[in-house]
Amino acid sequence: MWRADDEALLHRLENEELLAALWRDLLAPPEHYQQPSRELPVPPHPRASGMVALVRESAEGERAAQLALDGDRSALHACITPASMTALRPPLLHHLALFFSAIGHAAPTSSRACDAYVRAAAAWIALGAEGTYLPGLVAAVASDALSDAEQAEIVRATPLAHLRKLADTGRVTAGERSRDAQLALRVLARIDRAIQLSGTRDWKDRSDDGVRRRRKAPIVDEARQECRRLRLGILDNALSALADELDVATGQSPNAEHMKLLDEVVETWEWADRDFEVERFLVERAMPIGWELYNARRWDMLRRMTGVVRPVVDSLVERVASEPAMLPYAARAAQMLVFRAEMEPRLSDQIAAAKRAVEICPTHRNGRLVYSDMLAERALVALRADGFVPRRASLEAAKKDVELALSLWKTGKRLHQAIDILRRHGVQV
Amino acid sequence: MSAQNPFEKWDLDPFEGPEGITEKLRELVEDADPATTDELRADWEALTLHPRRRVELALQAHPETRPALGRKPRPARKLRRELELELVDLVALPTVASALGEPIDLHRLPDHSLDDDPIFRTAPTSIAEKRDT
Repeated sequence: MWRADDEALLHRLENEELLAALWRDLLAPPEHYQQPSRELPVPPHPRASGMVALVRESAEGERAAQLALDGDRSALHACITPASMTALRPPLLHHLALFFSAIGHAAPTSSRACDAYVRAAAAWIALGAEGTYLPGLVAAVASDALSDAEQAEIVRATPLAHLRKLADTGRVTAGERSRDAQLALRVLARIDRAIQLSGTRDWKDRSDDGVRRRRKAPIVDEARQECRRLRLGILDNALSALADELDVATGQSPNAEHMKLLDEVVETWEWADRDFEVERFLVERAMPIGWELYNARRWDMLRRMTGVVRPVVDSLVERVASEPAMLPYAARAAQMLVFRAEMEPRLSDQIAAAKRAVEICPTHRNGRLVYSDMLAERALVALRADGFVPRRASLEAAKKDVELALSLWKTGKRLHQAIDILRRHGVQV
Repeated sequence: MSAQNPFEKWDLDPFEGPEGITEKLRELVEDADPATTDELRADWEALTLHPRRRVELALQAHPETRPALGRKPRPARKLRRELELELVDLVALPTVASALGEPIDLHRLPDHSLDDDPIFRTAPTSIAEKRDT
């Protein structure tokens, strides 16, 4: 005779089977099923199958579970990876936070680990924003053994605790540009994605005047600030050895060793997914080296330096051009472009670099001066290219360049040479 | 972490508090080998003597949201037809009388009433008679 108790046992066993299947799907590449080349990590404790039990409480979840039992797990996967966690009950959020954290820890590739950790972060943030489950759990477990203040501190720290742990692990090996450190940087850089998944942006609250307004939970700002702080900590460790070596090299005349160190900073920048903080670090360290080489007229070494730092400078320039908040870095980016402009072998590339410097920092003195001088040079080239009598088109082009040059910088030997030639041919500027 | 979380490892409910945890672990110790006993003791300390650690571990343990299991089914009653017959069940066993040696012809035994039984006739019938004799 089939009893209700037997049905309950069957459900539990089904849920454990589904949990194990979800675990395998998220960790194993498709080719694993044909040729299992490695053992998968042990799935979570059977208690984690309570996650599936909670999903099955809804009609949609039960349908997804039945499909999964028949072999199609896509709907069940969708149930545990919703676009927003706003509607999920706290115990399910707790399950998801732990489940995806375990997936992140065991994932075979960095991208899967990153995705999983971001989902775990989203679930923890949603729990932190929900506001009753965590305090209730902490109070029930701690009872009178911890004071209210201690309990409140634990509740406040819990939603971001696993991110801190990830960052701590990464920071230790950041100097070696380790996988752990890189993974931590990537997860922390995607905090906005985690916030979006958590759904905490969508809170609506009735304010004192009775109007319902959308607000974000306090944990959103706290999460962003904390993630920024943790990322800076990792990057600081990643660059500290290079910073020390560059400091030691500061008193010496720039040489190949400096270029090697700058090259390593560029490698760190690539490893850190082209992080802005590394760009800032590189430009700050490269600028005095560039000036020293420029003043000493060591063009070969300066050319080498502009080549080494080129991709980083280009990235910083794009940031400055597109993000108003990057304005404080405009002058430094412009100066690096001026160095490049002076070192480019072709006039057209020189002008392009100088023009870009003035575009991102219109008041940059060196940028305006160099750009003006190069425009004048181009005008002279055009005026002399046609021989004794320049063609009208050449005169027009030269006039245009000279007028632009005058608007940038009014003095300069080449500029006045071009003005004189234009006047001799009846062109007034 | 969850694989070694003591709440999950020993199937403990964080909400039961130190007393409930102690009770449950004590039950487990009774049947445990020495190595497991040491493990139980270490987990007991972590869960009961350090409240902050207990809370941290509870937060790292999957909550128990599985529907409760019911009772196991009762063992099935064996029906008579399910009994297996052996040879002893089929063979006629010897009687007790035959096991005593010479077969006793029960029909030749005199049938005396108790009143005629000489044993009962010689014994005093009352304490008074016994005193007189």
